[in-house]
Amino acid sequence: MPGGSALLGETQKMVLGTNWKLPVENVCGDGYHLGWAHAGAMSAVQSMDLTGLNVGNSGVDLDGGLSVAGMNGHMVLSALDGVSGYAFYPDPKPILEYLEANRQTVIDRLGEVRGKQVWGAQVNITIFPNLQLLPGLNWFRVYHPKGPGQIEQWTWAMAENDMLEAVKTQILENQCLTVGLAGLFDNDDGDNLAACTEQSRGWRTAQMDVYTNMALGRSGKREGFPGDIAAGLVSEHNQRYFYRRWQEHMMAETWAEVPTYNINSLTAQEAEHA
Amino acid sequence: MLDRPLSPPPVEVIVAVTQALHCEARLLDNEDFDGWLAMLNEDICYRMELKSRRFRADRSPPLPVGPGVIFNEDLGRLKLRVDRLKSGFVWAEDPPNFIRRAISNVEVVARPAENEVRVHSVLIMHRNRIDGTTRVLTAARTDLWRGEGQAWLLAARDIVLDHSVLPDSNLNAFF
Repeated sequence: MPGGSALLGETQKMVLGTNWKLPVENVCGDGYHLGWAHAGAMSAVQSMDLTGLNVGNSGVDLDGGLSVAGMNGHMVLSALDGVSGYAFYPDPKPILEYLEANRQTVIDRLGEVRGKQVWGAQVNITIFPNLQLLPGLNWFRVYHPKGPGQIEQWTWAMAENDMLEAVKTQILENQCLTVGLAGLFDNDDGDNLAACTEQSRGWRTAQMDVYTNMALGRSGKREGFPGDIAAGLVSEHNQRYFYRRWQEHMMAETWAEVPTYNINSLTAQEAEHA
Repeated sequence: MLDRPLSPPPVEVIVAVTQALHCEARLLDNEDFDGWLAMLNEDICYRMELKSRRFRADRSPPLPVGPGVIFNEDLGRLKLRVDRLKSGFVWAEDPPNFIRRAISNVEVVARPAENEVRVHSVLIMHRNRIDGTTRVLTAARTDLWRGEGQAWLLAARDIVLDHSVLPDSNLNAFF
């Protein structure tokens, strides 16, 4: 919406015994961890469909979302239904009313695809290396590395300024319930991330490759979208780009050696009609 | 809150409520969540707000829709959290963690209604998790306990967590 967005509430800070890349990877592309890692939370609060993802991962709708990467390590994971951002709200009605009342304004401003399909949908945005924001679940997060194997995770709730105060209050409340310090979803991730970090320190494990091959070779250009795109939220497409970018930084001797790329960028005309 | 009345509540009330606090801690340590839920009043308000730590001279206005919360639960939401813990899908609690709660600094304060008391207490929670990870959390609690028949039930709890950066990866435990 034209009024922009703002962060709500106090900063929610937590120490996690994990390498900083793992929580970024967890949110940038790992749609399939939901039905396993967050099965308990999903069964407690899910009120709407999110691209067919469910407890136990028995099915998925790959046409329902996109994994978008290819711009200097920045990534987007997006559902395309215009409402699923609020799938993990026990009572999404007030927010669905807000979306319905303002849908046309957003379509006029951003076009059909972004206005109808993306705005209101679950969208995970990663700004490389350590900033993530999720319109929909409405949180904004920075991971501060605190030395090897430890980070401080700072989270805020995020809402559009054009929302009514009652809707903002509901968003802050739900963000605290789902991904707050006692968040039903967040409290599942911490130990998993710590365990991945700990296990990788083993002598044998350290010699093994990270296996991120899901949907390899199945990405390309999509009409009306920038980036190298793979279908669905269940894919390791974005993780590959994330680690590729990290490797590019690690291998460069100087900043000048870090490559700059924006794969399949839209022309000004395409962007206008997107 | 000053909370210093002219006369304390009857000693049997102080004993009964203090016993209830200890019993509650033991039930939670033993993961007897149903037993704990049975000690709660139907209209319980269980809250832990996010606290700000600002410079004393900071005169910034309060945040527009409030600071946010860590817990803001009614009985339904507490049951929902218990259901999640019992779902078998909460990997951070499997194998079970060793959690021990110590309750201290208990003050039982009379209220105008005879069957209600305000109770201040301090909770120290010792958690031994994963393999060798030990975390100690402390919190202050201000409760409202209500006498219902033979039992004292928890009607409200306002918790202040003494950590501006949570030193652990979850708060799957009740305070």
